[in-house]
Amino acid sequence: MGHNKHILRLLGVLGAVVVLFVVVRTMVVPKDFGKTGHFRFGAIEEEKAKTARFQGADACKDCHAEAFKTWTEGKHKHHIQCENCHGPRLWHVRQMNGEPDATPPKAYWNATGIVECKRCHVKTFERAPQVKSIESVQAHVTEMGGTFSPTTKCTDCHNQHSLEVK
Amino acid sequence: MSGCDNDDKDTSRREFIKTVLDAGAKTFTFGSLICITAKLRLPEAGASDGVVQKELQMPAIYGFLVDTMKCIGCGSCVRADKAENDVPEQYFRTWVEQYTFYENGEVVVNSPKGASEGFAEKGRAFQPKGDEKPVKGFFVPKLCNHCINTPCIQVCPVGASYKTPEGVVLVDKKTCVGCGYCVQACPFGSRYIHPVTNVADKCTWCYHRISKGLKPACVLACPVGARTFGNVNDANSEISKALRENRVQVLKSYMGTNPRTRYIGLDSEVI
Amino acid sequence: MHHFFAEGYVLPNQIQIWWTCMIVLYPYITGIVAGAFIISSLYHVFHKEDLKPVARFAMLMALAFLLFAPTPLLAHLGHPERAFNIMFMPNVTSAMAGFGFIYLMYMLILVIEIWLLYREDIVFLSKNASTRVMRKVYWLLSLGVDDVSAEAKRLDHKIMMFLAAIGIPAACTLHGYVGFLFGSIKGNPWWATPLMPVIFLLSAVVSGIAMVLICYLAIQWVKKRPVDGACVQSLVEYLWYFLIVDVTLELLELINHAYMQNHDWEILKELLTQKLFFSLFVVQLGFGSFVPFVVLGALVIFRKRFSEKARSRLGFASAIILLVQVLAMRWNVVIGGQTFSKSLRGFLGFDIEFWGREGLLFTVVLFAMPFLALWVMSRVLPLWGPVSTFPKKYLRGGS
Repeated sequence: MGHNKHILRLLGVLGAVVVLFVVVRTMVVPKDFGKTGHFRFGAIEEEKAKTARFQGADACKDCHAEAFKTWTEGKHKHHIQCENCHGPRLWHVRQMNGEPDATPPKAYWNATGIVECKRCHVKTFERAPQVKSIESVQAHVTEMGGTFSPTTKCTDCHNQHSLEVK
Repeated sequence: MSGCDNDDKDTSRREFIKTVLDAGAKTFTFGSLICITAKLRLPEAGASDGVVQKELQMPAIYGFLVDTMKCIGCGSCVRADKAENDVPEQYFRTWVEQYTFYENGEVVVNSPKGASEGFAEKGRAFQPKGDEKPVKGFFVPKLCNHCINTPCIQVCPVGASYKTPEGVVLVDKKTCVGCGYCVQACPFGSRYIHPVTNVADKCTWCYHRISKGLKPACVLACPVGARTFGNVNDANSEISKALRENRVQVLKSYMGTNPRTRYIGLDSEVI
Repeated sequence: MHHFFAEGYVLPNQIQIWWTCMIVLYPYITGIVAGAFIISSLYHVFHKEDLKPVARFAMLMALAFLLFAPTPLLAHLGHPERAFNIMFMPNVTSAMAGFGFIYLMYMLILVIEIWLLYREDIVFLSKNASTRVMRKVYWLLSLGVDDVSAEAKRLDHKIMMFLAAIGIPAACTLHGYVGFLFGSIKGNPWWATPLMPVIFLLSAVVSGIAMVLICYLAIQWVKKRPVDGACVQSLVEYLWYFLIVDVTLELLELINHAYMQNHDWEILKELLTQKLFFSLFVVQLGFGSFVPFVVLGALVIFRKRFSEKARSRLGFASAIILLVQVLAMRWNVVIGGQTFSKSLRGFLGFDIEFWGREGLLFTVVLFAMPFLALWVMSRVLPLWGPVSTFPKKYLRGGS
């Protein structure tokens, strides 16, 4: 009897470690963790809370009635959204409202009148045939009887919103 | 009488066998009905999610359908996604692959900058060595498959990867330890470690948009309707109709991950 | 130095190999733990008396390496400060979540076993260490109990045998688990095989035995102490045996891939014959396995024809080659599996960095840490036998 004191002390130390672990764990793990599955429930709301940046063509029509009208009457309606060429609306609105920190991030863009067009309309072997393709801007301009220069843009001849030849 | 006894015994035995068979048949029919409904509902209802469905109030279960026959490889989806979600320059939540089949049978796949600038005829990264002519080609948009049987959630050690009740696979940026195990486990290359936040990042089907009733940015931006998104539990939704009207396939079906992103016109060369 | 260029079609998100030197080092260190522990158990549980000279040392070596096993993982994490999430909110379906618990359980077994093994020495040193501070340290280590009576020692021995017995499956679990981490990734055809845990375990044992043999011989030679011939012979035999089983399974896995020719064979063939040709066929299998197989085999079969000196030298050389073999095996699995894209159509570019958190320099520094820990331990506890073998200068009245 009495020769197991060191083992009891060892068990005491281990017990203390376990208690410490449980205490720290209760303090660290968020309360909503594991509520509906093995994850932090609040993360869903955090993900939802982000603001949508692309807001669709309808959001543009109040301020840009004329351009919107030309677009609806043109060939790109139902296909190309305003924001495809002009960049997402969110930052545009914020800038218009004069919000401070409303500088658009790097991934934003604005229409050039040629780069956007070429992505769909310059011939690529793999492209499905439903899209009208040209060999190159130069070939197209020459074929149509125009004069090509390195600064030639599609919007020189085409209305940028209806696509009709000017 | 012994004969009578025998008869009685026979009758009772027959009776017994009949009861057993009957019960068996009923159980079988009922069981197979359960099995069939379970099977039919598995991909949509997400039985493996542990979400209990009620016939009348079925919550939304989202699905995504990519029509490769329509894609023109303009990369609008990739740009929209990058702008909407601040995707780092060198990574992609969605990208477009270009498949070209040459005369000699060689198949060449390209995706320069994930197609964020579209595909130019010139300057392909990979081409056959000889002077082969292309004979067939198409584009395949890719994104997270939001699998029902997710390898990424399975391997996440801390529960930072999770599934919402609608079946969308998301990452909790505040819990993720950045071990990269999910990146290894995803058979589709949909995940990456974000170079700034140092946590796993991936396509969310624009969860912040779809939960407000908006379309995902890539779907909105696609000029040819190659991407359809919607509630597959709603029989009248665009995606439900498209899924009924088309024969669809998933990527790497042999992985058994049961993706919720499905494809029309998937070629066997698409891996 | 390895340098791969990206070629073919690589999925856009796979711009870099994500698990590099640190993840090669992690199973390497863990493997040495498992191997060293098994050597120690062969003496303590299976009473292989030949191994007595290295039994204590092997156990402390296992601890020294185990202490640093998680450091490569920590260095690799995107958020090391959240590392404890793995224990606070472990996901039961994740193999990786098991790490914290398997590691801790094994650590506990090992520490308690070492504590019981050395308790008598610790109690002795708590009274006889050269300085007051050290006496206090030993007193703390003894948990303030100086009972080393026959009854207490009998109890200690009982618990020790029990711990050693569960320590063997624990060591196997620890390293089999590391293999499972890779073997269970179905998205990676080079990793996904049920053989992976077994191969990891066996190569772990090989590397552990090799490390024990190397350290034993090196220390004896440096200290100009006699080498125990029977002990070396025994280590050589175990090394040969585990090497044969290990390499057989490694070959089996390769043959299986080559013979089944699944959908992934085209890319695996290119991986094996181009990218991994040198590190797999030349280093791991040719030089790393065949040479030690022949040398160790000769030492085992023609044991009487070798002098003790020759046996020690050849065993030492083979053990070093085997450490390279196992390192190459880890490299081929970890790096090899990430060299090809999940498009199965291309290979990733890869360059080992020298500086940086996952660079070569840090890898070498991390690998040196267990040896540093061993050196520290050698100042605190007698590594090679009872307290009578402890340097006198650490004792009261010693010089």
